[in-house]
Amino acid sequence: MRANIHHITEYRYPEPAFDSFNELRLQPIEDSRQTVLSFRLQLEPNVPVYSHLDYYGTTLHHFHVLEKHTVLRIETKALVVTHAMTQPIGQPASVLEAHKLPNIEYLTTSPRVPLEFDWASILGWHQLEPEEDYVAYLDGLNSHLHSRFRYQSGVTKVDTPLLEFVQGGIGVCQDYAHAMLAVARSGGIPARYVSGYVYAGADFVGAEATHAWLECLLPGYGWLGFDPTNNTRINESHIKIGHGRDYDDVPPLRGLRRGGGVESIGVEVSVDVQQ
Amino acid sequence: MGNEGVFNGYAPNGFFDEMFEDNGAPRAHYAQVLERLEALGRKEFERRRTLSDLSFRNQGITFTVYGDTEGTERTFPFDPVPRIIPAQEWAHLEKGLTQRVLALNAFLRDVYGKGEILNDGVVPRELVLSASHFCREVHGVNLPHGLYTHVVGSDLIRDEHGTYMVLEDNLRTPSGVSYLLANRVAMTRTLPSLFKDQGVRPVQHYTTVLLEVLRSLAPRDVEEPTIVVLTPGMYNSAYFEHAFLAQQMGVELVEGRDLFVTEGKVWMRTTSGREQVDVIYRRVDDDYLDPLAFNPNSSLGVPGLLEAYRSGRVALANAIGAGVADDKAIYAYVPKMIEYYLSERPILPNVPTLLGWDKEGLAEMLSNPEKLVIKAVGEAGGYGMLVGTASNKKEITEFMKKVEANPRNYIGQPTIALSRHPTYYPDTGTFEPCHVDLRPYILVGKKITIVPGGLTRVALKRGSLVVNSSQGGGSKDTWVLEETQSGQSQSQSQSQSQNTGGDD
Repeated sequence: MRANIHHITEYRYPEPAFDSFNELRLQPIEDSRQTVLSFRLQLEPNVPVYSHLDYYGTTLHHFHVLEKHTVLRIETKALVVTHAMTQPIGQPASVLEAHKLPNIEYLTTSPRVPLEFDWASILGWHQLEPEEDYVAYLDGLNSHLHSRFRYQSGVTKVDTPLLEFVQGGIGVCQDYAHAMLAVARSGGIPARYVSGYVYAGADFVGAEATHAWLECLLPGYGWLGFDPTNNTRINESHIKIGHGRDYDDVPPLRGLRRGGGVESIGVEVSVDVQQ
Repeated sequence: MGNEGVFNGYAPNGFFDEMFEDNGAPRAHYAQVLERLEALGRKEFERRRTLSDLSFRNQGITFTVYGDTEGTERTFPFDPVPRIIPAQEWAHLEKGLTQRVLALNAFLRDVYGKGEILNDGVVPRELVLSASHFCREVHGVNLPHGLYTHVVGSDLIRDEHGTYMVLEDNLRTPSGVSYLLANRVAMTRTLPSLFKDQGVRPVQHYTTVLLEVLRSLAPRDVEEPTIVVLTPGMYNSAYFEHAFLAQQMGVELVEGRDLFVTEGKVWMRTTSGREQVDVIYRRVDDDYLDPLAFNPNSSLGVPGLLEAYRSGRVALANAIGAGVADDKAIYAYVPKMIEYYLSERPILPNVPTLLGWDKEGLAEMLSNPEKLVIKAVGEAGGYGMLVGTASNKKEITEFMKKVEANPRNYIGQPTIALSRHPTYYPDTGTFEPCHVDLRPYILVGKKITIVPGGLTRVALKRGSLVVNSSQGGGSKDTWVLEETQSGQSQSQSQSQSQNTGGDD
């Protein structure tokens, strides 16, 4: 699929803002599943942009607006080709043993996915058995979480603790992803958080802004993506920006400024399929 | 010693005493100092001690105790009987410490680069990746000379045989060097006669060397790079030291609000406009350095500093992320790092350490807490630790609950009978034995410099093993003697260092 992504974030400040530092993680990653044909970033005010790859290989753009401004507009355009992937065959959970140590980062507690709770029981799901086909386990879990939670924005915030979301059962894609990460990791499956875009044409939820899902390790195959928000494995409609242990490692936008008062934010994301 | 002797009634009592042999005879390198103290007499000694006390107070040489309701600033009690280290013994320590900081820097370069020691399974990857001070934000950043820790304070202790061991490494913002320098000044003023003909090696070049190291990190090729000392402010426990070092080096003492970042560079606000900053000797923790990259609630840091640092436009000492190597669980692997990176045998042994992370280590800690010292891996200053031998059942049970809840976060070590040193107690007017440790300060630039000696810390609370200033410790002037000592003292210290070197 050839996807045209157009993403505009606009901050409007009632009073002049200045000395504004920002970090963006909006550029889709180049990997075996997708090819980035072009990426363009346009800023208003128009200030120089620098970039580097972060620890997880995500492109990070950063810029500084020193002068006073009442509008900060971040516009990105990306043209990405996603490739169809063969689907893996099932594997018993025991094959993971040899792969745990090198991927320990995706198995241990992370700031937003604490592992001191019995997440499977809390979420009404069974524990993974050593000889169980864990791909089927994950597919089942994916559907289970999808039907257990209700998607609604405005209920959880970026920093709502996972336990609170799980108890309330209402949230957005990043909450779904964190919940599934917690069960997968507790069962010994290396799993990482993914930030990206999704093509809305497929009637998927989460297309109005950046989307989030997770990837689990399948030795001999690679990382297989699951999107519990949409009850599906990752397909050509998913365009990945980057991954990390949890949201904190790949926030789309992080900033700090002086002045400005209480801002209003407008976000517009469109993902169109180009023939 | 005659019956009137200053040290009457003093006995080593089975501990290793720095000044006296087991049979009560003074060690050769203390002989002259002892003789002169005897000649001075108790009364005169007490008078001089009172004067030095007053001088510390008048100079405002203080530290701050957190969580104390009765005023937070205190003077650091100074005991004017010097701790003396013979030349050979020091040469051994110097070699061991140099080896250690070389390996620690190699380790930091490695874990923030290719991670070979992790791939080879020499240090468990999980320990590094789960260390709270492992900083992913600086992975792959190139640093001047590839150095991560420019100022190191490693804590050395001696056991009941007198063997030196490394208790911990402080690689982030080790403090206390100002007391080392102040103690020497106080000592020369209080008891100048003790120094005569002793060949005590000087320490006052510390700030000159520190300045040289900082200068060598400057990214701009300019004659006079701008160097600053960044302090969290006057409420920090080591604020006196930050001010002292800035003043001694002749550089500005700044807080986060005095600095700002634009055009990818760091600038200092001055009365004559902005000035570009090249090197920051920062005494602010990683988490508070840049609210954009780290703790967003920090008002101590400078927004944008991390990016300026990443692009090499400003240098920080010590580097961001150095703390991963002084995590007390990773400390246990320093001897392996020395073998891995330097292909050498460790000269200074570690204290045997049980890891809560390791199943067997945790089991051992849970079954014998009353015999162990148990510490949180990321804490410093004697906070977050349990001395099993000195705690009651309730304290132990409470503490072990925390260990069980988060085993990775704790280590256990045997209770070491730290060496002791005669220390004057004004309340009894006598010398009593107190446990001591030694914190040498290691400066790492193009070459490694260790000012002879270090800060000898004294556990003043009778019988206590905890020497930290925040836990009621005091300090002593520490003397390292020149090579040209009497034959007797040399041969003795040689055998000492051989003992130490072979034991690990």
